Amino acid sequence: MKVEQLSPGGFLIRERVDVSSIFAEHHVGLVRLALVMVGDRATAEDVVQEAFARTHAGWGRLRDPDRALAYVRSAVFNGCRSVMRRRAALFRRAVPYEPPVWSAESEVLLSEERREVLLALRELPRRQREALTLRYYLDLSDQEIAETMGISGSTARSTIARGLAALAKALGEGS
Amino acid sequence: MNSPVENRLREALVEAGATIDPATLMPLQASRRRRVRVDFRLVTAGVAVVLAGVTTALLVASPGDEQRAVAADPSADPVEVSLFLCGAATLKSPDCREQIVTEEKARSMREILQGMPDVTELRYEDQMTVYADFRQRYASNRAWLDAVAPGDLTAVFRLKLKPETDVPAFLRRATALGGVAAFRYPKMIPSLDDLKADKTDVSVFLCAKQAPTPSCGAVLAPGKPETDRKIAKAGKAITLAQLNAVAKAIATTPGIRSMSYESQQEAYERFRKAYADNKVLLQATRPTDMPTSFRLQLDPKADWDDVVGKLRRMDGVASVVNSRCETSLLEIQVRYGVLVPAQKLCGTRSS
Repeated sequence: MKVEQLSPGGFLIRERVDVSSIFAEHHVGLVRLALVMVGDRATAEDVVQEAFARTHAGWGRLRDPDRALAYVRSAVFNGCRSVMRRRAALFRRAVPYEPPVWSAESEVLLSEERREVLLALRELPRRQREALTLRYYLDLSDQEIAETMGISGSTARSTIARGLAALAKALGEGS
Repeated sequence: MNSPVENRLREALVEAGATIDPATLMPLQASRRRRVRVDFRLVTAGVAVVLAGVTTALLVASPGDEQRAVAADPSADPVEVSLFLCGAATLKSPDCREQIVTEEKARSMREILQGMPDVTELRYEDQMTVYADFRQRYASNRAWLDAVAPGDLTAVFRLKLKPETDVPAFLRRATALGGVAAFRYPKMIPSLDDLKADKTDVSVFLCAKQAPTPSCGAVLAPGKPETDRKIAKAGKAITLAQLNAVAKAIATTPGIRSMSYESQQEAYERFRKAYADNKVLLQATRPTDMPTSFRLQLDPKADWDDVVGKLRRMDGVASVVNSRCETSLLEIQVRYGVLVPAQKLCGTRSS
């Protein structure tokens, strides 16, 4: 019988404390990021929790503690992606989860104006949607967005430009 | 510099994000274990599908006085919470930061906890007390006694909180004291008593259309981690001929006392009752997500592993679960805070 081992070794204590504190410090922010990506709070919390546990498990792979926040963010981001993928695969017919914040059924009341924007964002291709979320929700730079999404800086830039144009079109605004 | 679209987008995202009230977030746990969730669903209702994206946070029931908790009106019950302290067994948990809780630290934690207005009752059990309790409870079961050593266990605070307590906030304050390796909290799972009262000893889950398990012919895409592998090809439902063969095998296997068939709708009813408190899980689950099953009662003297192994190898059978064993696993997890590898002791999972 063995208690699950979650960290690679004792010599990593200091860095582990770092990742804990990054999560502690950014917990709300990360859950909010997950929320705007997956739509419902319960899943968002779970994604962050899962990322937290996994980051601990995989800490040995992270060389540069300065990049810890970017790493943590990517972990949450990837968690959201796989939630969306699994939903698409498994719940095509069923009501999958709590009504998302951008739907009219949501318990959380957003104004019609906000919902319209969020719904238009939903309709964009995945990469554009993700890049716009990182830019306009987290105010990340092109380079940070590129790192989080695992694409190049110039791709990030052009994806944002295209996404923004598509969004403007969908909302009937010339930009 | 910002276009109107950019501004609208920014405001909409901020407003959506702001709907999360930081005060209501559950604290993070580095050592939360995912596997129990899945096991647990198998025990309760045999949901063989993977309910992806559904959050049943692992808030496992704390034990305490189960009988009383079930008998009384749930809304007026005290909330029971167990805080497992950092000990040798949980040292590796990042929540412990390599620190064991000393007696002195436990005393000071106790004082602080007792001073919290939500706490109505507090009991401290040291490692040996917990172990003695474990030995007594599983006295008749050699395998379980062998599986858990005193060193696997840690001291624990068993708390009762006022019914109106804001539990997430309380747990945040409690874990902030340091030295808490894990917590267990009942809200999201049905009670162990309900599980124990269930007459089923062994469930034989049958393959449904689009079954995700390899035992039904599904092919998983290569990749890691194991739990997140995508399904490359879905499995097939059990055929009528296979169903007849399984029913016949059950009827002719010695050691099986009785058998009943549970439809999707019946399974769903049971599931709904068990998870009445968990709105998210219920919303995500449809009767069609439920597997059909044969529910068996076995002769206590029969070789259960033999029965399970034989049925598991049959075509059209998704999995065979020894519910008694799984329930005990869950009980150990909930009451003693340790995770015993299920494959080793129950050895009945095929998917």
